[in-house]
Amino acid sequence: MDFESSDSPPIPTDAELFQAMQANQHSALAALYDRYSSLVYRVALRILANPQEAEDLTQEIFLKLWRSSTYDVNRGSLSSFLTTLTRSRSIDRLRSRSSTLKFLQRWGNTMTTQPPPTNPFEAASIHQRSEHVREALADLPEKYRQILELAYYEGLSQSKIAARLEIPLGTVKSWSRQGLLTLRKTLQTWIE
Amino acid sequence: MAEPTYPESSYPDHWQELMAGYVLGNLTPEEAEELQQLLAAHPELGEEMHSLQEVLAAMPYALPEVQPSPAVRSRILTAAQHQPDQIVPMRRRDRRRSMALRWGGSIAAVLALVIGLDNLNLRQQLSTTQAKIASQKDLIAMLQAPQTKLVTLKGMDQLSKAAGNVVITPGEAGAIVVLQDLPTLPPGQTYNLWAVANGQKVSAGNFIANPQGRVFVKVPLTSATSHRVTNLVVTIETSPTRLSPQGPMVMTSSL
Repeated sequence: MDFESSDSPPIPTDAELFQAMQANQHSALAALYDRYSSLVYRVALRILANPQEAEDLTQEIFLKLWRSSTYDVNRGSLSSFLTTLTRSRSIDRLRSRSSTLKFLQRWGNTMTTQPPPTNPFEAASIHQRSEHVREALADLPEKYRQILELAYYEGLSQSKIAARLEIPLGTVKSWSRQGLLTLRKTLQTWIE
Repeated sequence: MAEPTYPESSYPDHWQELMAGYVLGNLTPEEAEELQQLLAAHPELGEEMHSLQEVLAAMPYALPEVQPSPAVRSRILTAAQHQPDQIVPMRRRDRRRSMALRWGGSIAAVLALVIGLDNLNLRQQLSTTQAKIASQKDLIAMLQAPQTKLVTLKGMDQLSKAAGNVVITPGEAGAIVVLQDLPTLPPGQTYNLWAVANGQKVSAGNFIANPQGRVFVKVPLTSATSHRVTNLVVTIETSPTRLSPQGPMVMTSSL
């Protein structure tokens, strides 16, 4: 099958868009936003559980990318740069909040969000990636997945995870490592 | 052709766990040392480490596919077109990450943040200076207008030494406030200028004094109010958005 259609221009790669963006092309920023805003926003919303704050952070992340990007194409994918940056900024914001705010309350807030329509053209590939990762995580033994998510989204230390799940610290370490390695194996053909 | 240079058999049996531990930020010092030696001997393992970092960073793809509201897109694109003036709030925070997601550029990211903050400070200083120059230009322009009035304000009670003037051009928006010997207020409090027009007090903006007790600001008095204003008063407010004065009156004038 031939997916290349002669009358539609090739989809620019992340690297091409990033380069164009650095040359001050606003359209490249818009294209990168259309491609990755959902990814950035979902990380921020998952961690902050507040649509307003998640939108503010999404804006901050993309303007940072536009103005003073520290992204280096040779060091990793733009997608992982964005999720990593969004994760760390979200966790920073979370920690600056009142400690009385309970995790469950935050989850309650998430439910009020209404997903606006996606941009179908760009969302297709992001959607496919999402499917892959979702399946890979679903295949992971529950105990591995739970620890990876606690570490990633809650920013919990190994010892806090051990305390919360009431399992030894050594087990937390070993399960999280096994979890990541299993995930790696499942996604092998897709992420190099 | 020679044998592939990936002698997996020569790696320690837990080499993958070491790399996963590094990516997850949970290596013990001994393990970190071991990994360092392993990477020095087998630099080709760097690629595998990179892949593990990418896999971890791809986890959020599994989250529900939600989108920010369309307004965010236009806000970003608008802000990108006005870049020197609109500054993304940045936080100076140096927290140790409990899980070291060591994306390659993290040190560069911290450096950029620090440099960014310096720039932010510079920009703020610059914009303060620019605002001052703008106010001075406004003042000169107002003084050239024949109908412009100089309203003298005098301090009351606790601010008996405070004095100064407000420059108003009836029918024109904006007023320039030039005061001196005002005490510096505690955080959360501001001075608020009120224009009395038709017996009603209308907020004409708030301001604070500099450390020397001086004030030189342009406040957003509306043109409708400037036309009808009969008196000006200054109060101390804790919530500058109030529609009517709540705090004590500290300066007054009469036209």
